Amino acid sequence: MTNITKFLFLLTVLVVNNVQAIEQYLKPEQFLAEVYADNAPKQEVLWVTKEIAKQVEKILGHAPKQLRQRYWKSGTKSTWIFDEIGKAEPITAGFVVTDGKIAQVRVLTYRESRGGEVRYPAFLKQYQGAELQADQHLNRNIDGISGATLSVNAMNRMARLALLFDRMTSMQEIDNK
Amino acid sequence: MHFVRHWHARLGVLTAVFFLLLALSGLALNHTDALHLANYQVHTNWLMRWYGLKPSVPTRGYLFKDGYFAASGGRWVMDDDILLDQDLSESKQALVGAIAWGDMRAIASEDQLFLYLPDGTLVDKLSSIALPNTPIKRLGSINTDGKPLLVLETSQGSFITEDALTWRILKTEKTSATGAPAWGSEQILPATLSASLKHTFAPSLPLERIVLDLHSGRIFGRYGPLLMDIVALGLILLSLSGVWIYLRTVRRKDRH
Repeated sequence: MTNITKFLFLLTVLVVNNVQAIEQYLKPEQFLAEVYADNAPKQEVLWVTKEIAKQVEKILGHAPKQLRQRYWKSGTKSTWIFDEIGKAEPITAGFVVTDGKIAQVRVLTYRESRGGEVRYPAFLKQYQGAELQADQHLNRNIDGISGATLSVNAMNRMARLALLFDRMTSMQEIDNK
Repeated sequence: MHFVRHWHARLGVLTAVFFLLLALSGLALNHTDALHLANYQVHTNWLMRWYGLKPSVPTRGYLFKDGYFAASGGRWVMDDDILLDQDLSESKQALVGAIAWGDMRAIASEDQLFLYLPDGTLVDKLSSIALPNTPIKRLGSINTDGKPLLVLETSQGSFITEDALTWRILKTEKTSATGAPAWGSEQILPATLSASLKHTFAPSLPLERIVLDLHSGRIFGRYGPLLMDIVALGLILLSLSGVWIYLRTVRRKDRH
């Protein structure tokens, strides 16, 4: 390979890498295996009724994207995977809720060109123990990241949604009993 | 002194338009999130032609009893509604097929299954974690005891579902008793749809991209950035000559 060909090849690789901004850090299957130690419970479905949709809209600022939300629940521990747009592209994140409190958060796929710092454990550990207040906001302040405000906001919205949905499923369980 | 003043004024007038362009586009880019520039799609015909973007109108698609689904250039359209508009940076959903399934419409890519109501409301999006196997090869439906079942053909066999929650393998004996699945297949779209297809598949770009290209000069073509470099050099010269003129004026005043 001549030097020019090598240079062009390198340039192509760099350009392709720049265009391909998607970063998948963890597959949903891997996240579930991590949460449930390879013993994930059966997938369940929460129907987003009109009543639930109203509350979701208050949190997300837009109507829910789909009518059925899948989740995994074992005892008081539920796991949720959401897609929410930060600036222009959706961030895929997984949330584990235990006893109505956030127990774990992971960014599974990040698609924006900047703001990917929300995936760092130092940022995500702020959510641990967070609960949903009556006004459907988190009961604690999450410190932002400069230049990643929209991604941080999207993470906050998803954390609130996970807590809301967990509460809904717990209420449905009580109603069914 | 006169020479510098003379050229400072000329350069100022020459670069004024570009300076305004840079300042205004820079202001807009600084507030891109608040102005939602990334969410606003520009469709203007002459601008799209300037960018070299041509409409890629599909001639084939999937026909339902009361509607259609068509895809082209990463854009998925159902009954004139854009369901998905995949950006260049996205890994494209490789479309497998679409089919009417009971009250819903199922659309499958190799890795995902989308369930929509006829009005375009997304009911569910199933990824590998909710699917029996991937990649999906074909999408079809089969009637068993009057119930429509959705069929996914994969390399590990075909799977059926009543509710897209639980899946079971489609046995060949069952197929012979109930008839073979009807697979979703592409058909030629009727000419009556051509006007609306032209409209929904018209090219577009996010406003943020256009403002960014204006700011960098890329909108002016291959030599646009070079033009902006020259403008930047002009602005540097203006700043230096401005300071020089100011210092000279102050010194003169001090002497008098």
